[in-house]
Amino acid sequence: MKCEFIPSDTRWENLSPDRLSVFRSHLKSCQTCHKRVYSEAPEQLLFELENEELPEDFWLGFWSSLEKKLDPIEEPAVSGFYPVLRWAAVFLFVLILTLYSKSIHDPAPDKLVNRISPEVPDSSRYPLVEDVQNPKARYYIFQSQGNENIVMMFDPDMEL
Amino acid sequence: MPRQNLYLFRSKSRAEKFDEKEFIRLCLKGDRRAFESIVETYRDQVYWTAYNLVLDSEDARDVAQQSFLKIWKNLPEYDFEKSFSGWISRITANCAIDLLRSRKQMEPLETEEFFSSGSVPLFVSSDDQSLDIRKIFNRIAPLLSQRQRIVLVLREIYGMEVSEIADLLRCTESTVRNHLSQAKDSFRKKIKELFPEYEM
Repeated sequence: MKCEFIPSDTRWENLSPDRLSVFRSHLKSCQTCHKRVYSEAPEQLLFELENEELPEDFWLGFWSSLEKKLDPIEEPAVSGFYPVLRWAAVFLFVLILTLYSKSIHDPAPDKLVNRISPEVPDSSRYPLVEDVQNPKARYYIFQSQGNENIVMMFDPDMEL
Repeated sequence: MPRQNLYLFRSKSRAEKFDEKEFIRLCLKGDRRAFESIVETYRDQVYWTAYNLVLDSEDARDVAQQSFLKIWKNLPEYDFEKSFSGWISRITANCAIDLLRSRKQMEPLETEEFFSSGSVPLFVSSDDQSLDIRKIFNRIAPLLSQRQRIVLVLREIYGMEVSEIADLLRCTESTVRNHLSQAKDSFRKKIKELFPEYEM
């Protein structure tokens, strides 16, 4: 019995995957073509190489040995500590953000002291200076951003 | 996944309904029992892929272990649109080639020497007169050079593209084609020589 389904001059390496699949299906059912292909291009029958089922004994200990080597990092952490850490990180972030924004709006205390008066009293700066005649005396004017000024006087001869 | 389900999948009929994508998703969540099911489903395929390349039962088992470790590690990179079985085969082939390379058995690319150091396969098919591809393969594969065997197996059994094989072997596509051509010639000659009873 002759079968021409698979031409004898077939160039197997040029076949499309679909065509190859059709030919292989045919080879499973047609002994004539099967024998001819075996004679002409036996390597094309390697697709028939099957994975025989191995005896269960062969796999004894395979999984237990494999399981020990599985990288635990791949397994998502399910411990109770993980969520706590996450919330702590969120809290810390919010805290840092709050402190940072506050520092922008409220200048540091040293920035409140815009000017420190000269050591020599200056009568033009403040009326109180006129009353301080002692050359040993020092006074400091702290000017806040508002209209209020704070005056600190250091006079060793002052009697309180 | 309940332990009970794992045992259900050990039966063949259940394995046919095996929803691998669902099991892969479970594995990605760290479910080792789901991975155990995957191992049980694909272990024969992985073993034989490795065996066809290394031609030694113990080595093939070791390669299977390495392959499953790599599969577990690389699961996040698996593309759900592609064949899982094909992905597994490529990883296994890679591990098998790494093993051969580590033993420095890979001869230089251009050599055409034959060698017959393949160990005797543990699982040999029946010795009847019907055309038995496994028997033919087990007899002839050790007679091919390693490069020839690898390209023949990856191309003709697993249908890999020449470019993929070139990547695995870290050589050019034309080198792969040369080895494939030589492998086919050698395979034909050896069949005629060793299995004349199957000739027409």
